[in-house]
Amino acid sequence: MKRISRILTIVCLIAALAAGTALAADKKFEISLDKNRMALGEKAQLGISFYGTQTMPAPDITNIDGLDVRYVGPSTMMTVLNGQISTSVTHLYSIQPLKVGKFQIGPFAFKYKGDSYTSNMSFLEVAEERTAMPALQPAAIRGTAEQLNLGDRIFLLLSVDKTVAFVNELIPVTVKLYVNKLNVSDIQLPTFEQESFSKVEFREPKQYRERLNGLLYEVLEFRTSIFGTKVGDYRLGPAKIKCNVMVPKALPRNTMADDFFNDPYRGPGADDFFARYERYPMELKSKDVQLGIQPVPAAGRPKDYSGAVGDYQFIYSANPTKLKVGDPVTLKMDINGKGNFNTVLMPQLDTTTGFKIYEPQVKTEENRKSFTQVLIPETDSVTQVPRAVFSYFDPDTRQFKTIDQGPIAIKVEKGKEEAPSQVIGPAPGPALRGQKGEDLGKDIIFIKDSPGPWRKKGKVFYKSPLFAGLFILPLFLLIAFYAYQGRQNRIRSDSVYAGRLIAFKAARRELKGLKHKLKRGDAKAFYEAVFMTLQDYLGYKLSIPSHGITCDVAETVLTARDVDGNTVRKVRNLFMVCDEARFAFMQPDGYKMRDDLKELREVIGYLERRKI
Amino acid sequence: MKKYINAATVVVLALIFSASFGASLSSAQDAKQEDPNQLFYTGNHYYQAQDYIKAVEEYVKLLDMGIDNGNLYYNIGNGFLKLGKVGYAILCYKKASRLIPHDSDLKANLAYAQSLIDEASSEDWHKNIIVRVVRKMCSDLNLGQIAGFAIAAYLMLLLVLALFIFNPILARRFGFVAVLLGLVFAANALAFGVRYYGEVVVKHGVIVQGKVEAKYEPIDKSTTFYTLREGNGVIILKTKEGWRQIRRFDGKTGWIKKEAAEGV
Repeated sequence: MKRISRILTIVCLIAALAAGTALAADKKFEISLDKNRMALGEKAQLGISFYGTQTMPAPDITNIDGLDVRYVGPSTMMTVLNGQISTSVTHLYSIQPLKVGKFQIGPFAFKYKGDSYTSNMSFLEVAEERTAMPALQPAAIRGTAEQLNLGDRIFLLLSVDKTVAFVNELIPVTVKLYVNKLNVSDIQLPTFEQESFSKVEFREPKQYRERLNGLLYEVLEFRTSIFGTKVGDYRLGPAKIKCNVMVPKALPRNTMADDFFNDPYRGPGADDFFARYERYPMELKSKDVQLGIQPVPAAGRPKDYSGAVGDYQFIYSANPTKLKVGDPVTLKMDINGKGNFNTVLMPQLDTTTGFKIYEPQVKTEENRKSFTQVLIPETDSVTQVPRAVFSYFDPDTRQFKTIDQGPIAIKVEKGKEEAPSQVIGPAPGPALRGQKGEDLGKDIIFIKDSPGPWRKKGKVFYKSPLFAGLFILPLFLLIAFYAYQGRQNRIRSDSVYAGRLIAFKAARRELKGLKHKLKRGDAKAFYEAVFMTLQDYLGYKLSIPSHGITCDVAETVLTARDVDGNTVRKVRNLFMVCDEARFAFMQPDGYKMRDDLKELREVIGYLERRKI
Repeated sequence: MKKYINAATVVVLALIFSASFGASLSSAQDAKQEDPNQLFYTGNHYYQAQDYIKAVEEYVKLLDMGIDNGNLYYNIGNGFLKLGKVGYAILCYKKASRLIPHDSDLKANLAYAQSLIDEASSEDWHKNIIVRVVRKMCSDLNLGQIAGFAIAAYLMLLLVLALFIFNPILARRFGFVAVLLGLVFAANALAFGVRYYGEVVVKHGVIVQGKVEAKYEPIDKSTTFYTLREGNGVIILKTKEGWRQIRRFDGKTGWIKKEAAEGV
């Protein structure tokens, strides 16, 4: 036991020591030279950079054999991108070699606030002849942004991973911002001309350092992907980035000071002590690039191909696989892989007979697109969910590929006729009692599985016009039916009433016939018809046999029933005219016939109004 | 901390729910149209996953679409009860009981929710015995169903009367059929009237806040008359400038803040 505890103590000590060593591990900082080769008598610039801080003091590195090292000053850099701030400080030193040879600079080590810092190392080769890169002129960092010639100090590069692609194929695009010892802030996301290409959305940029043509640059790399929407040759770009460059403002100088400021190795940090910085907005432009967009080949294209281009995997699942009629089964279709997910549509289901289908839900993530399709089996004869087919074009192999998944077997049972109630009536008391006096738990009953019929709020039957119509209309119909039946009964039982109704109907019908006879001009036939009409009408109206009605009989009866004398005279005249035309061979002209027809109408109209 | 965030979410949900109740039909029609069945099943899915906040959110979207459905109110009630909002749960159950009054699950859950606040349903009590009898007889029917029965009895009565007019001999032999139909129609019409008065004319409400003081006047500094608890049923008499005049079922009236009670 004692031995074990001793071993444990030793293990703990070793672990603690290892942890302490790890905690006390040196922090890194970087040194960089603006040139690695130079001639004797020239000057180089050494930068010592610390990231994530701007308060780190300048380390003392002036004691390097063969080199005259002088501290120039600090240069700070702050980048604000999408609200994220990154800071750094670079302490600048002027280095002048005192002899020819190859010098090792670094690694440097020092302690600050309990932390140990170590750097990388760099080499400087000093030759007799002038072989170094020409240094930047101080004028290049003075004046306004427009006047500045910052071509080597800050610039933009646009590049694409491929220059020929298919329609809808993703083309990775990179925009790199190179900055060499300049204070740059408020960097906007890149924009560029993209006609016939998809919309550009840049991801978070990467930040790193890169040496280019002997100069060390801070690089901000923006990456995105685009795809061509039309076939053809296009120019992409130029890419543009807006930012602010902090430029030291020149101060009035005297001759002595000018000599100092004209020091060609004086970096922006040197101005910190003598000049203030001004912010100049800049728009950087890259060169444009050529892109050729080809059509997706027509040969071998599957029927269900819907435009997906890339390299994908397709996972298909159904849940639950045991259910009742009317319960939903959820199909999940996940498309993973590389490619353009904008053109990935839901895989096609071969048949959905026996299912009720709802609109699928679509969820797009990076390198993944999920489709959720709810199906509801309508019968228990359904045994499987349909097969799903997804086709795409692989631009690397230049071939169409089809992934076929399913069908997946499911078991559908008959649904309940009517869900039996789980609790009958309101839940009683604080505790329910079981059969043998056991205490039963008490909680709410589960939610409803299906919604039943939907109804618009406020749309109720008893407030609808139909409800009012069903009350009023049948009542009116019943009243009308009652009135009709009463009339029919009276016609059946009251012959006088029936005769009056028939008289008018018959007269109206015969008057129409008279009109035709008048047109034909056959006077004899016309007056015979007039006679019959008058005789029938008066017979029905006065409830006496029509054949017995003559001029005298009519005059007597009408006078007895208190009919207007003028009308009686008209009746008499009509009978007489009819007799003359029928028996005396008188030939009345058309005007006379029209007048007599008019008189007959007046007589019938009058007698209808009088209701004799 | 998480507890407070959940509580805040529930409060926001309750506010959204209240707004959904208050929204007019026209504004509801302007809402984004989604498949109601899909939303309902999504809500059920969240409920089963015990994410009651999301479940209620999905259900409330259906209310925003201007939909009225008994099962929907029932499920929302369950969601609110799980979230501890007894007042809103009872409110939803009462709304559901106007649409699916025959549902025994609903009756059980409403009784359970009321038992949590020690309140038996006193809404059914009425001093007029005819009203009480009629309410009891039609307790399993909603207003639309009673109206349907009334109209059916009425149409059958008119049909029988028409037959009697057509053939009066039938009237002498089967006149009692018309009398029976007339009685059925009258009973249904009476039931409809009583229920319509109780549900549409009289505005019932539910207290949805924890502890509510009913005051003598609609003034903050007014004397408190009595106190109401979350889930208590009241009758809303009128609404005025951020206050509601309410009557308790024992007849005592008072003024409460408008947001303290929601109309059924």
